[in-house]
Amino acid sequence: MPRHLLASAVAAALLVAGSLVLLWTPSPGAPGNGNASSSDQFEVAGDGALPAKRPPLREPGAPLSTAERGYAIGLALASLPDSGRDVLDETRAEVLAADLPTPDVREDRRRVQVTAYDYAEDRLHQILLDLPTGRIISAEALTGVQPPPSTAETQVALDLALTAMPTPAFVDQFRQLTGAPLLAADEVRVIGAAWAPEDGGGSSATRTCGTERCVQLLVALPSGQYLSTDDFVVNLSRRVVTLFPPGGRRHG
Amino acid sequence: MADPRRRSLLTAAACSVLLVCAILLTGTASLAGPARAAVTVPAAGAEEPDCGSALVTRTLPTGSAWRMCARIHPFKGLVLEDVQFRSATGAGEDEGWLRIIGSLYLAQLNVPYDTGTDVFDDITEVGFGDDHLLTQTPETCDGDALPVEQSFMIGSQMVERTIPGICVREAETGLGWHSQEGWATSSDRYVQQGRALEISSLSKAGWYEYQQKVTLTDQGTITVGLGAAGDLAPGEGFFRTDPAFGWPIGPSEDEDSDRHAGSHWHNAIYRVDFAIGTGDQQVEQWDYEGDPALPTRVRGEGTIRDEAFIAENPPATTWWRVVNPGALNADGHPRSYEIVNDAIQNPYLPLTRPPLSFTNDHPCQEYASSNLNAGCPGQSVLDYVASETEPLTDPVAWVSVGYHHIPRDEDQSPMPVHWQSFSLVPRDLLAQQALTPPERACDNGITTGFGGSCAAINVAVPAIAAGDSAPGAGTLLTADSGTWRRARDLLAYQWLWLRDGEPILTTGDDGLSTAATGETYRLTDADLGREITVRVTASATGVTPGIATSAPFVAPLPTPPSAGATRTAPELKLKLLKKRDKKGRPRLRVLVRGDQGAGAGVVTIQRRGKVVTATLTDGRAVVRLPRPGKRYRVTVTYPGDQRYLAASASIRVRR
Ligand SMILES: [Cu+2]
Repeated sequence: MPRHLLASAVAAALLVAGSLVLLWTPSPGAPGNGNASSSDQFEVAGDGALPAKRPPLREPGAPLSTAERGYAIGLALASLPDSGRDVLDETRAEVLAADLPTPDVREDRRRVQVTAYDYAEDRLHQILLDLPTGRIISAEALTGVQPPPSTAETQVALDLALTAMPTPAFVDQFRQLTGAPLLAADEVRVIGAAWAPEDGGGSSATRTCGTERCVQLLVALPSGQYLSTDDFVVNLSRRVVTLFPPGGRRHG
Repeated sequence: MADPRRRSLLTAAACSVLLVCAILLTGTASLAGPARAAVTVPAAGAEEPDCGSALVTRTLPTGSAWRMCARIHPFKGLVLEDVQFRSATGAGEDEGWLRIIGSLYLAQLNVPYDTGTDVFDDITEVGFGDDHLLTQTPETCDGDALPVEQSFMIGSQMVERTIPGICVREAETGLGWHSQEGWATSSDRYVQQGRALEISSLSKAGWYEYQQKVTLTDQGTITVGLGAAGDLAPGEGFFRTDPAFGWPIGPSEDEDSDRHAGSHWHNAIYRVDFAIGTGDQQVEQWDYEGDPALPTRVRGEGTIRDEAFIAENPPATTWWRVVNPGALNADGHPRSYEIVNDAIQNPYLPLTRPPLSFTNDHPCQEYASSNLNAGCPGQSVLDYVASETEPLTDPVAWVSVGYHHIPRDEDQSPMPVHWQSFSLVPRDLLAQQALTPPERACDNGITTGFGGSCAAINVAVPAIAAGDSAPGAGTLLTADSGTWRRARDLLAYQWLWLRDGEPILTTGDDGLSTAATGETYRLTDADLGREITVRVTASATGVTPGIATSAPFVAPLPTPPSAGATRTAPELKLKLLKKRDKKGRPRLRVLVRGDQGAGAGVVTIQRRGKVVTATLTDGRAVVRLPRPGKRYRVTVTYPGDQRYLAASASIRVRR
């Protein structure tokens, strides 16, 4: 699938009427769903845009407000080269996390550590910001470190897996269990995990995972039943799905 | 459970008897207030954590308190920062808030399946925060579910939600202490049930869900637990036929094709940044050596570990503590916390094998393995220890807590939670235990082993006797001392007589006022119709004084000399009303009437030596009685007035 089509598909799947459907939330009526409520859902904050002006700042150790986090992300992204690309191939790095740094680094000030991944260069950026001044305290870029995937990355990985040829086993398994083909990502629940082969392991196809960004998926039916997804990983940097040979050892 | 009011009274009594009396003689109505202020030294204490809505402060019913910042991090899940403890009874240097922990969180959760084909690092590959955090409901949290604000980016858009995500609840911990003097069941017995504060969150990391739970007890112990919930790994990949790597789950078909649910490890590694007081801290290791010639003889030796280290294959008897040599408890001993890690460790991995490793606190050393911090990327605890060059003065403990999960039939959905944990236990944080009752306050060091209470504890209040004749001016009142718990030394008593709660002053021949003290007091005209009580102060050398006050005694006002009028016997009627009050307490109606109309004045209601008074209105009064555990008898006395003679009646109150 061309990247721009993928991007719009992901946006549509994730944000239904402005509300993010949790990727693993069982659908209504599923067992164990008695307590799910609409307030569990993520929703677009305001118009979704990052605040350009510094919002009111909380105490040094307080949890970040959405506005503080957005402001920090905006500052961090602005400091990165324009060539950066996110998982949707848009002009920005993929933001993986923005949160308080450890207490020593905070120095009793309002500070935020932003972690973002630039798919254009397969590099991880980590930027420490001082919110009262808007100043960047430190900025580092490196390869080979792969934090947990963002919600968007997990969704893109699932889309790639659904359309991969040959198809991973869970696609067939879905058809056997439900009697219908698995066509759209929102028919299943998914959790993504960053993946790299054990030291010295991996096949020629997966050995680059680690320096490139790879994800394995845990996929479940809306009923909560998990499908077998241990036969493949998705390389998001190359946008390819690698199937392991039957009985193959992913960490061998 | 200790009665907090009693405790405050005893604290008040901690000042000298003379001081207590001085306060009483100045006519100050409230005893507890000023006396308390006189003995309370404002503690320096730690500063309150500066973390806004993340601040959790809780005083447990037993009197100890905790405060800290509790947040949810996108990857680490539950993070506690600036954890402080305040003991219920610590005095002097031990009073007030004591800082213990700078930060505490799960720094890695490594889950390798025994087949060797699948490994998950749930913290650094999946993460416990963001959309992996589960909503707390009344079913998951019967305490307070704190709101957690979350936000992250999807494409160019910021999304957010606020959910109840951190559970703060109180838990009972069972018998807190028990000590009985002597063998007789009637001998003095000190008992208290323990309490703890629990802070927890729930995260979904796939088929497995985890509860991160930190339990903080009223004795200052911190237990850090990881509860695995959710379901066993599904699918063919995790059900092999080789019994060496799992356990048969479900109906068996034939032995050869039997599918075995995969055994696996949950290898948790926690990062604990200690902050005991201020200034440099040390890590002390204690080793023990037996004596082959005398096997019961065991020598212990403490060593300060001044360099970062990995505890590789330590003997089971070796233990470690983090100690601050500059932060002394009220006894002058350096405060410390001991790390108690009774969990097993996965022995096959160099990272998880050591139960404990120590480094200095370096901000870039965030995760126990596959470190995500760009300052020391991809590194693990092994690298941190190897690269440490400075002396160990700002210790961070990396605590490896393993669990080898060999599935059982009973682990099927929903899988019962399985737990793994370690504890941080105070060692000389305080000079005595955090909830020392006043009766044991003097048990510190060589005084240990003596019997009797360290504080004068009243068991039955003093009683006033007036003799047989009708009381009036000139009647000699005699008070006893009341009954007191056996104290460390023989108690001496002082009496102080009060009129309507104020000390009675008498003017002597020299014109000076003196307080009415002593076991006896002779009533004057000024006392008639007023409430006379006696306050007994019990004291002994080395014993915290105690105070107890008698029930009021009321002598009737004199009968006006109305010619020809004679006092008659009234009718004193008692009736238990059918409807008890909302709390189920019986209501007693007292009726005093006679041939001269309704009785007036005050009646006294006595039950098991306790006395209350009630004022008659139109000859009636309704009194709430204590809810009877077993039946008891109540005696009501009407002292008489100008028209009526005294009268008395009693009634039995059933359960
Ligand atoms: Cu398990």
